[in-house]
Order: sequence, then C-alpha cells, then structure tokens
Amino acid sequence: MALTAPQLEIEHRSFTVEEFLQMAKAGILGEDERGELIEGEIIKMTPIGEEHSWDLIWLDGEFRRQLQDKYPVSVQGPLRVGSRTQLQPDLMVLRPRPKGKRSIPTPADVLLMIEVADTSLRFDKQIKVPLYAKNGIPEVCIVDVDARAITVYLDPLEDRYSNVTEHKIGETISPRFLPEFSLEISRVLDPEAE
Amino acid sequence: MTLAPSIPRRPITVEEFFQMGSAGIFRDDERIELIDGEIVEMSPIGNEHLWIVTLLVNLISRNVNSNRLVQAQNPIRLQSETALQPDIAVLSSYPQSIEDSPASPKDILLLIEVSDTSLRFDQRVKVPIYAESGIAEIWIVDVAARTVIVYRDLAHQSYRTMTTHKMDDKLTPTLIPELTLDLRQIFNPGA
Repeated sequence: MALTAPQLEIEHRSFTVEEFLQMAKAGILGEDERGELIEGEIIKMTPIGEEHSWDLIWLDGEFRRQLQDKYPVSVQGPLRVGSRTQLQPDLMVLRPRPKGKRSIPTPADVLLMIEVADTSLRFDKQIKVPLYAKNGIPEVCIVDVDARAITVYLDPLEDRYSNVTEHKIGETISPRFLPEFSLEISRVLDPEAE
Repeated sequence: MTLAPSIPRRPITVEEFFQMGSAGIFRDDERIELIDGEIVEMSPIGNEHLWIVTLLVNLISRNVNSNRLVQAQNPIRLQSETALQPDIAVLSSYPQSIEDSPASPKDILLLIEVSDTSLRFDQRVKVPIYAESGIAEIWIVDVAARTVIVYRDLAHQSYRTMTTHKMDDKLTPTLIPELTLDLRQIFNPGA
C-alpha cells in the first residue's frame, strides 16, 4: 500500500525534536535504537557492523591521542539541527565550550564531522551531507568502509560542498580547522598493516 | 527538504502510538491515525460531516439493543502497526473497565466513515484495511453524492458485495438486525 501516493493527499504527522526527546524519555524509543529525527521523521537506522565499530574506535583513539583534551570529541552523541531535526553522527570534534554550557551541540559547535559508512553510505551521502552543508558544518569526512577510502567535503555552499576530494590508504589528511591533527588513513582503514 | 521515499522511516507500533498519546506527545485535539506504522493526519471535519456523524450516533444509539455501544471518532486497534479512527463504530458489548485497551475487530459489528474530502482515501486505503482486519460491514457515507456505499459479505479478506444506496433507501446492518436506518433522516433531517 502506497500511502504517499500523491493523489491520496495524505499528510504525515511528523515530530518536533521536543516530541522526539519526550518519546525517548517516556521509554517509547529504546536507548539502543540510535534514533535520528530528520525533518520531523524518525529514521530507522542500520545496525552497526563490525568494521564500522572498529574504524570508529581507531578514529576516536587517534583524535584523543593527538588533540589531548583541547577539543571535546563526541562519539555517537546528539547534534541538534533546528526544531525538527536531531542527528547522531559517528564522531564530531567540537569547539571548546565554557564550563557549565550543557545544551545539546548544534552545527555552530562543530569543527569536523565524521561518518563511518558501511550499509549507510548512500544515506550518508545523499541525505546527511546536504543537511550538514545547509547547516554550515565546515568539514565532513565520510569513511567508506567497503572502498577503504575517505571522502572529504569542504566549503559548504547551500545544500552541497563545493570542494570534495577522495583519499585512499597511503595518504595523510589534515582537517582544515584542526591543523595540529593529521590522520594517516592506513591507521584507521588498514591498522593490521602496521 | 523532503525525504526520498527510499529512506526507511522507523515504523511505529500500535502500542507505541497509544503510549505517545498517554505521554502527552500529541495535542488532545489532534486528529491522527496509524497506518502501516506511519502516523497520518486526518482531514478536518466540515459542517456536513459533523452533523451527519451526530445524527448517526443518535439514531443508531436509540434504535439498537441496549447491550450495544456506539463509539464516535475514537481509535480502534486493527493490526500490529495500524490503528484507525472511524467516524462511528458499533460495538457488540460494553468494556469490562474504562482502563481497557481500545476496541478491536472482534468487538465491532459495523463501522461507518463519513467522507467529504476523504472519499478516495477511505475507499482505497481504509476499506481494504478493514477487510484485512476482519470487520464484517462498512458503510461509507459519500457526503457530496448524498449516498451510502455498503461493503459486506466479507470473504478471504475482501468484501464480496458493494452496493450504493440513495436518499429514499432504508438500511439494516447484517449484524444489527434490530436497526433500520432511513437515509432521509441523515441527509435531510429537517424535513
């Protein structure tokens, strides 16, 4: 049954972020569901695969080792984008905040965003990257687990990035806004080789 | 941004839908239904719709056996991810307690939908759901045409008989033999 058939003119009842958080609080959405709300729609997230989880663990370790607590690193924590979208990106490096500021991070807090994509590659590239661009996230890295490559998106312009480059094992990349950090891609995508 | 249809939305179950209601996530005056795990908004109620529902509730309540119960514009549970809010449901008996969960198909003798702007949706989406769920008889009041379309003789999850009735017809639901409804009473109550 295609409810969305345009001739039936049926409106979805979408949710606000407040309602979404209320649902989590009331126990309607499980803690392990990793729910994301995009433009008012609760998104069914794909389960985290083995490679995805290890790539994220290596990445997190690299950031913590090199940045040494100078910048907060959020791993699979929430990002609030307006009143109808809340995301749960894999990793965000945030601007340091004054102590006591406890609200959910927003795009203005983000220096670098990383998504590790296995089955979610299409979703990340087609839905999340445009959303990040639209909200002015300065730099996004998509780690493509299958292709063993990292795509770097820079210079947001409306709903896309005007500077997109692909990097493979053997290269070293450094985020534009974290020049003290450098990442040998092989350390994340091919750790056994070392 | 509109979501591409290929993006998997998280389906909502009937339990979660009613839990959201209890948790105060919906406003009290919200008219919503759950269809195949998706929450959809119902069309607003126009004058004709309002009066026809009110007339039907009263005419039916007065003329059915006292053990039956008429429910208006409240939800019923149909499938694990579907809960609809028909305009009228005639129930076979009273609830055991006011804490009971909403009525399900086994409790329902007749459902009526009053359709002004929602006729196509009611016929194409809701009637098949009612058939799959095992509701014995459905009446769709076509407000614009001043007719009532009756779906009955449920077999293999579809209605074998669909008949259209005009203003001067009288209708008796299969499972409520004591009731005879003269359609003039709902389309032309002032006469």
